[in-house]
Amino acid sequence: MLTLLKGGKIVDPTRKLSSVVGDIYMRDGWIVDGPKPGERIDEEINITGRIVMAGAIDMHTHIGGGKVNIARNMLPEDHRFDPVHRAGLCRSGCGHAAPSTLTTGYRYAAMGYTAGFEPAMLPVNARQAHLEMGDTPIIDKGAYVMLGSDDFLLRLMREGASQERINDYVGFTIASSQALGLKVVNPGGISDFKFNRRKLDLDEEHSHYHVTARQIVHTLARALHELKVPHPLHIHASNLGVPGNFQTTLDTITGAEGFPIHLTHIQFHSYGTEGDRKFSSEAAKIAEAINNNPHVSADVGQIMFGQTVTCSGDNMTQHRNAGFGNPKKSVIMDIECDAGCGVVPFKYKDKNFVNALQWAIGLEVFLRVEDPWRIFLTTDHPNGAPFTSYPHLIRLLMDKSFRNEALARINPDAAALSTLGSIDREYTLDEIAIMTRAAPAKILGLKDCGHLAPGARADVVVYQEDSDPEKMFTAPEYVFKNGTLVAHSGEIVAVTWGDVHVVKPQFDRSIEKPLGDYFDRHLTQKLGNFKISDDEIRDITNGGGLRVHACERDGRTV
Amino acid sequence: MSALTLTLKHLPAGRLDLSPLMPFLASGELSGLPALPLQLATQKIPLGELFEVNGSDATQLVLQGDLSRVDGIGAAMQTGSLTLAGNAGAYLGTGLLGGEINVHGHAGNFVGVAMRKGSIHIKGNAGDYLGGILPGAMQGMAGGQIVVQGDVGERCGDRMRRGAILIGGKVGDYAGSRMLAGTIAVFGGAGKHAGYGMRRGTLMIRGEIEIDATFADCGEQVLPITNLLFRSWEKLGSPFGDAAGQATPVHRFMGDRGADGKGEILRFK
Repeated sequence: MLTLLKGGKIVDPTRKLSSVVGDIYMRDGWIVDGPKPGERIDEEINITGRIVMAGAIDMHTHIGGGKVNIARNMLPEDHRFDPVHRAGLCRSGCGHAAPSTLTTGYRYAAMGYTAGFEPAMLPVNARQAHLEMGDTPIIDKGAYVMLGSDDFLLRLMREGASQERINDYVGFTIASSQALGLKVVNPGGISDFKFNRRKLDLDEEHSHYHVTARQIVHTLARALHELKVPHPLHIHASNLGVPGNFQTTLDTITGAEGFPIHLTHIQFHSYGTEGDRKFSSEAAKIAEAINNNPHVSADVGQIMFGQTVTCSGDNMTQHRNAGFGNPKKSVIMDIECDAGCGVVPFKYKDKNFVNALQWAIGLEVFLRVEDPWRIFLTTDHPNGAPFTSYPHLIRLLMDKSFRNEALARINPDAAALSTLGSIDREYTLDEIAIMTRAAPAKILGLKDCGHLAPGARADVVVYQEDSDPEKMFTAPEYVFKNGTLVAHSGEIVAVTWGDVHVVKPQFDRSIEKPLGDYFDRHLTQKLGNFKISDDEIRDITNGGGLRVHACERDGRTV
Repeated sequence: MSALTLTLKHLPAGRLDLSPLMPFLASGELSGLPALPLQLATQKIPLGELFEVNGSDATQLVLQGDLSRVDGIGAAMQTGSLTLAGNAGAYLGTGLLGGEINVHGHAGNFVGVAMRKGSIHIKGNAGDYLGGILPGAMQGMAGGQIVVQGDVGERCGDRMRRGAILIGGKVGDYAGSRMLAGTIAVFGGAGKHAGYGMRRGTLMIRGEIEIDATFADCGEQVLPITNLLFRSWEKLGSPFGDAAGQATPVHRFMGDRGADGKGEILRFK
């Protein structure tokens, strides 16, 4: 089946096409050059004057794993105001901050997103995360597996194990949990919390294992580099949300010693201690550091005002914030002695000084980082806001007067402390396409996503151009996933099942001997049950495929 | 202006959710009312297909017909009056923010859950969870007044936080369960486990009832507050005002000591 999208304005930063009028051919789920000699065009859609982009990719969104399920269970009052009835092809569910798996898939697709990546999959919880993601329709999925506070790694580091041994363990964990990358959350901190530590700085020693967060970051960043995993270490740095933590963030950048790293939800890590209330924006310094260090990328984790829920593996931070929960409840838990998690509902208020400044800091980071290839549009769904607020966020970035109107409405003290009003930058359509499509695909090593060149997956989004970007990005006219028209003007017209993206790094299988003994002695399952096979993934994706990406790194070397 | 009157023409099988009605009327634009989509079982149906719409004064809404399969009547109402000639389904006056609701027939389960202000008056009986919580919520009714002249089902005032519930008839088991504060007065006796898990608040019950072992007997007392309460209820007529103006001794039990234990059951004759 050959489909022709005729006459659209193609925005494809990977090929440096900026609103260039052209045709796109899709055959059997892939983008192709054009018809073979004598081949008939089965379907032709005239999209003259419309903007065409690749499907958007959310590279940091909590859509699976134990903590999201806890958040879903915890928030009946949030679901109540956004019930999702069965309608047309879509099954019922619930919406807003922590939507059900089905609603998550439908809403992402209707908004032109064709892939979302779960950033905090615990190895021991990987099966649950994959099952949830497998139940999320239409979009492609993948996950970064979490290490850094687990007993086995910290033991290896304490014993002074060789980097090769640690690489084997990292490789084993990525491969056996079917992950696309590796994340570290509050390095060492989740573990030290259980030794009654409530704050762990980058250079403080873990009270039991006597390794520092800096060593953990460096070791893991190096491991990924040596395993040639495309996505650099995904770092949720120490001291999230603590005023003055910008210094920790800057130290984390230097601590990586040139190994590529990705700093996640950087907004929460850009706080200073200036001013009467000892809380200020250091977005300029963080942005400068990102600008000056080409091996560093970041996603923002923008907050938006309204009700949401924060779910994180960082139990230290969540324990600190539990008192601010709104509604007043929280879950702080240990997971199999190997990791932790914390879920705290939050209501960000525009008249609240801290929240308003957080909002401004996020936007400052967006606007001050010069290279859109290294800064990503996220709200850290649902921690900063639900992903459904992306169109609004895009408008804030693209429309200076709209942004300044919003700035005038927030807490005046926070507005006065922020330099946001003096920033004239407006994101262009090309830059939005980079940060939501081309760049995430590049940094994750997804060679056939995020662009529209022949050979790419036919994930194509057609937008009706509008002077209001929020309207434009809310409900694209056509969304194709693997060549199938799945959404039309905000309505789901076909329910397909996306693929799971993974990498399979090479490692020495002999690590399974000590690991097997360790599992037998300390964990609740056998090593053989811990490993998730390819067949199992194929079984739980409802017919979606398993896409293995090559482990190779481009020029980004030390 | 005549009262806005909605008369039920017919109701196909399944339950109808009328909760979008009051927020729609609050927006002030009546012309689109017949087109307002309502959820009936698994499908959406415009209001005009089910109801005949007359009149224009939305502050005096009248609903006619047997609405015992219609849920969410008067939900989130802010002001004005709503009168039902017949019965009401479940979730009557959910999240009520003001105004008054009068029901001449019976009402279903979950009357006035999560209400904050305003009043609900039911001439007949009401079901379970009256003045209680929406599923999963931390607090139930948080203000206003509910008066039921007939009987009420189980778990009346579950997790209630503030306000008053007056019941002329008898109340089912677990009245005032997990109550946080507020007042419930029952004039026709109560079922088992009254005040189960209550932390604070007052549960007044006329007649002999079983008191759970987790309540401490504080003996018979004459409390000035009960006289003030009875007098304030005098205008509601019998049985609510029966004891007005006379010293009524109450037998006081404190509990539930399995929870916070600062609540009380006042048993009187």
